Amino acid sequence: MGSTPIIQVDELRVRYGGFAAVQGISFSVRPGEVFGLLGTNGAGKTSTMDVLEGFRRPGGGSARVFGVDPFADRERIAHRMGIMLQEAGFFDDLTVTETVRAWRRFTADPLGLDEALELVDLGKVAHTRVGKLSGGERRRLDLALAVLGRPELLFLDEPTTGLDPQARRRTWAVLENMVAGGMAILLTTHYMEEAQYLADQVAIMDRGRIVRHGSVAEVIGADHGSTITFSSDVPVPVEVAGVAEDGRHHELTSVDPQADLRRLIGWADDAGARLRDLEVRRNSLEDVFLRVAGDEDEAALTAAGKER
Amino acid sequence: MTALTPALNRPSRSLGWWRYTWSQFLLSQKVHWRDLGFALTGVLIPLGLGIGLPASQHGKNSIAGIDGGVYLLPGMMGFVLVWIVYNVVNSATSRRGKLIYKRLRGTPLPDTAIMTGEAMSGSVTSVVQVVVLGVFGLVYLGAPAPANPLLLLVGVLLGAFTFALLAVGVSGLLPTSEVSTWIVTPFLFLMMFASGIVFPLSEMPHFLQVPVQYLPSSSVVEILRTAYLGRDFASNPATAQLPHQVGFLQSFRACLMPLGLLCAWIGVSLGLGKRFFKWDPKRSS
Repeated sequence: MGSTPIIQVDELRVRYGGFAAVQGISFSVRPGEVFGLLGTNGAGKTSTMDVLEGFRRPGGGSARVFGVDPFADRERIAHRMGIMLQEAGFFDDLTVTETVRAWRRFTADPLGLDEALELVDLGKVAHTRVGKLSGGERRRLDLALAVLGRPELLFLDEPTTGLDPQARRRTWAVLENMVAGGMAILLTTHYMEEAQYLADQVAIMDRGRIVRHGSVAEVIGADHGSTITFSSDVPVPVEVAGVAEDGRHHELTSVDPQADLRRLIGWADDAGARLRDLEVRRNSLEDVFLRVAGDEDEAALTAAGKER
Repeated sequence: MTALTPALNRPSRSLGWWRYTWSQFLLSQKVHWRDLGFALTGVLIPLGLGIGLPASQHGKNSIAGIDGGVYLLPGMMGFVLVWIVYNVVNSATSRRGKLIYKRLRGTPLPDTAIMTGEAMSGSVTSVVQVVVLGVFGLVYLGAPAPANPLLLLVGVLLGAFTFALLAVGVSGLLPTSEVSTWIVTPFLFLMMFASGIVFPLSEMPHFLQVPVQYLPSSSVVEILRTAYLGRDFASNPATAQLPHQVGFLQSFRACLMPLGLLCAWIGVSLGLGKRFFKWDPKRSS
């Protein structure tokens, strides 16, 4: 990986009137790196993307893309970027081929027509009008148009929404291939599995702030690495396994699953209890995300309660 | 699976503004002709009126001392240019509503290249219609060749530019493409009947004769009529007299006021566009 960041964000702020959508976030993305920007709806992901794509002036802090201000110098760097928006329209009366041909004229060294269609598996609908495509096919056409110019930096806003699992896997393979060629990707997604699979670095945003940031392993590790689940007909003491919501099913997050399991099994042997459906699993990004979002919601509710 | 590598090992380059604009023009034209009903309406109605009205007056009536058909001809050239407003408003509002402008902005195309390509596409039919009307005038009406072809060209291009820019400017104030047609149509009729296109301003109610001279269509018609007929229709557009003849430079001098007014309308349109134009219906800019 190169050492000079393609994207450098420092204390970025975005405001809409009195509403602070992004409140001082910092991160960087290097060539060949996939950076996942995660968060609930309204967390500030799209506002951040808007600034980096050059559509919005920052309200504070700085954002540099290819070393320049993406808003002021957008025309200088636009040909080096590919953008796949979350929602954008097509000319429904044009066929897939006509659309790709038109977009090829926008770039200096585009992918070939057949190459682009094959890349996203749209060869069979090449002569179908875009208005007749399924949602998944339109999303794949979206991707084809975004990468036509072989960009060095690709912005992907919810790239696989509406795709079936097979098409999603195929899209991941395409993206992996591009990243192997040196392309950097800034990705937002609601699929944590997707972020975990593709991203080298992730940042979880909540209410305009980054609340977790690092490699996927670091982010998962920082939030207690494993989850132990089981059920027991005999009541388990609180100091052994916390409180079960329904009195039977327990779920523990564990930094040291070996020690926690030893304690749990020791208690079960002494008490003559049988632990059913005992399972230890490594936490996923989704677990972390849900916990972070839950914690932040709770914090917000507490803060709101105190204000009252 | 195709192996795709970005252009990291070779410098990727920008195509340049004109290439981008031309690419947008080609795309806009392709889409325009795909909606054949709308495209043919834009060809047949202006051209039908542009040919029909002068043909009906040719050899029958004299307007301001000139054969009716020949007098109407440059006016109808102005009328077909007014149609640009329809084309550009329609494409701007419908593409904004369908989030197509949002997508186009995600390409390397500069904003100005997108809008210029769109405006050129919305204008090209009208400019071709001007040429067709010119040939019709020469062949059927026996009209003389334009007295000042350069001024005629300036009038056509500046008029087309003004109407296209005006359409872009007001499109931000219009809700949807369907509704915008109903809002724009009365203004187009106003421009058709109050700009000296089909009858001289001197035949309008006295109190309207001065205000209507400030319409962009009035300025275009004054320039085209002066350039085509070689008489000063610009210095005093409301006169019922046959205007005096003007030479090459004199005709430019006579048209300074309408040329200036068109520049003012361009300024107004830019201001409207800057303030109200929306690339994305969900956003304010």
